[in-house]
Amino acid sequence: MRWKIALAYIILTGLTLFWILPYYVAVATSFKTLKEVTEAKYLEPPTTLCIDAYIKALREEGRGLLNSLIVSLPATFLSVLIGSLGGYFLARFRFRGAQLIFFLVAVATFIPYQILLVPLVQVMGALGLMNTYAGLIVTYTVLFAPWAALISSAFFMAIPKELEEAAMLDGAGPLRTFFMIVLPVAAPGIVSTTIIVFTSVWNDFLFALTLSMSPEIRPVQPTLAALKGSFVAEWNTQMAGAVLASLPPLVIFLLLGRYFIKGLLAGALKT
Amino acid sequence: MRWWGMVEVEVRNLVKRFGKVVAVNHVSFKVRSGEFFFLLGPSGSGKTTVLRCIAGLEDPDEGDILIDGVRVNDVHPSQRDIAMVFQNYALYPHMTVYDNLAFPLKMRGLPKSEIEKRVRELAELLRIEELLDRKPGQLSGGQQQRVALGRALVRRPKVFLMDEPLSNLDAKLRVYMRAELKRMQKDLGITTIYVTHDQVEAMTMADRIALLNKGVLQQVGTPSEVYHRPANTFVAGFIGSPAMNFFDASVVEEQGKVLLDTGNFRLELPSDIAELVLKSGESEVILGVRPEHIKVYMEKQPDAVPARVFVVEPLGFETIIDFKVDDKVYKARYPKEVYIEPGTTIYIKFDMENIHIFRKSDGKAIV
Repeated sequence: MRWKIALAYIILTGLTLFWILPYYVAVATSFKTLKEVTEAKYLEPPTTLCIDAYIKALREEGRGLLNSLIVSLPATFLSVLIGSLGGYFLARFRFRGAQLIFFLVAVATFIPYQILLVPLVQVMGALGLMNTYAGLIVTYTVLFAPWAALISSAFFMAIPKELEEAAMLDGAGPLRTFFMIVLPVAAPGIVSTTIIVFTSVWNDFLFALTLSMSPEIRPVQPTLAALKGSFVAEWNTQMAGAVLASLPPLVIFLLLGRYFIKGLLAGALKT
Repeated sequence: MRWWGMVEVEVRNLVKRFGKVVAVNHVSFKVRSGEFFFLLGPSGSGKTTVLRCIAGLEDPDEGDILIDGVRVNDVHPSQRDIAMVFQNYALYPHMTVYDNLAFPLKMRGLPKSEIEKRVRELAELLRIEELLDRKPGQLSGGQQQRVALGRALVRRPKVFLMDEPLSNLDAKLRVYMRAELKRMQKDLGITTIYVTHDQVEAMTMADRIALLNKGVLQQVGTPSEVYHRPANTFVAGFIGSPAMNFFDASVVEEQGKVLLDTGNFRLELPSDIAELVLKSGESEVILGVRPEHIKVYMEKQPDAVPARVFVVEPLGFETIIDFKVDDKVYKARYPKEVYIEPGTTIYIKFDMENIHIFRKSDGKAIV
């Protein structure tokens, strides 16, 4: 048994190093001077802690970070709110055609979302929502609410029906039952869903680029892409920008991560 | 501590179908105010479905549910003022015991001080005061059960429903809780409907029992009535442990006497029973005899039927003797501890005052 555990740790350590390597390179590079970067010694740590790259990245990308927060937070909130209500419905109410709806929602989420680009842009144009925060928020909500529904429905299915029936007999109506009993019990699942949706919205590039024409609206990912410089490849600035852009999802993950793990394991073990 | 007024529950012609399966088939009964009423039957008998219809968790396909004479079919469960204890307790896992108990009161918008007062009062009654800050996951099965009871009682509902509340407890605790629940029900005087498949629970706790089989109501009566005067072979076989013995028999009239002939032995019927059997006009019947109404003798007796011992089940204070007549196994209660070698011949006599006779065609009781 011992050696099996040891082997597992060796493999896990190896994988961790492998996965952490790109991030390490990004962080290391971001603290290097432009001169040091051009020496192409990627794996070596920086000789000085130079924060020039961060200052420059923040100057050019700051607005993008703010825009992304303005878009991601409400989009995530709306996606999870609408999605979890839908997911609850899918999980609980068995009616004629429920299977079909579930299937259609699943299909909708599995379609490569690039396909939706042209129609969505046209719809947003027609609604006058091009180059607005609202346009981005609505788009992401439309894209990710079905995801949230699908993911959260799995967690709702694991909740014993008697809990809701008990709440009903205790005098709670459907909405109170959902918000006071079901949602808190499903909290690990909701948190997992929130993390997944937030990360997806935050990291999206395609829609962020297409639906925003001006820097006042443009989220961080397209801004980051524009950071590479016109004449010189300023790798340290780019990496500083990338590190900055990766911080919000990281913070969310660190804050809510223990729920995420719980959520991933929910239903796997008999309690 | 009597909180409750008079509340009657009536089920009229209740029908509930699930797809093509008729789970409850034209069931009617009336629960009296303050009564401890049991719905008893094997699994799949529809007893839980009846309970859920009363609670409003299922919509009846036909028939009416009346609480205090008012039809409540279209009243939402949250408005029926009914409380229910679920088999798996259904405690809210994210709330403390206090919050679990307070939840139904909060839903009714009671002031905080009143909630606090009632929760403390009930916690004392159920002896769970020291658990109020814990979460359900930190409680033992017995404690969870008390909290579930408490949550149902705290808002002083009109009617109290219990769905196999003791089935998740270990045997010792179950026996203890039987007496505890019975006592509490009587003290509070609340109309209570209790679902169980355990006939011992029903016999020991109920004021009256409704027996269900395959969605059909078989009999409603006091424990004594369903035990001593079962309406049919199903009730006769379901109530009592070990179960009643059944023998197929023909009715024979000989020299002015009425006899039951099982093929292996003949029994002369006492005149009052004989009269009822003749009046029924049945020629083929089922003879039912409870194990406690069979006397076992080790030596030959006049009019005793010889049988072979199949196995003995000693219980300390008494012994269940399984014997064979005509390759079928029957059971008798012997009031002492005894060991008899399997294969030994014994002699049995029936206590004729306590035999039951049923129609063979539909199992309905004649005597």
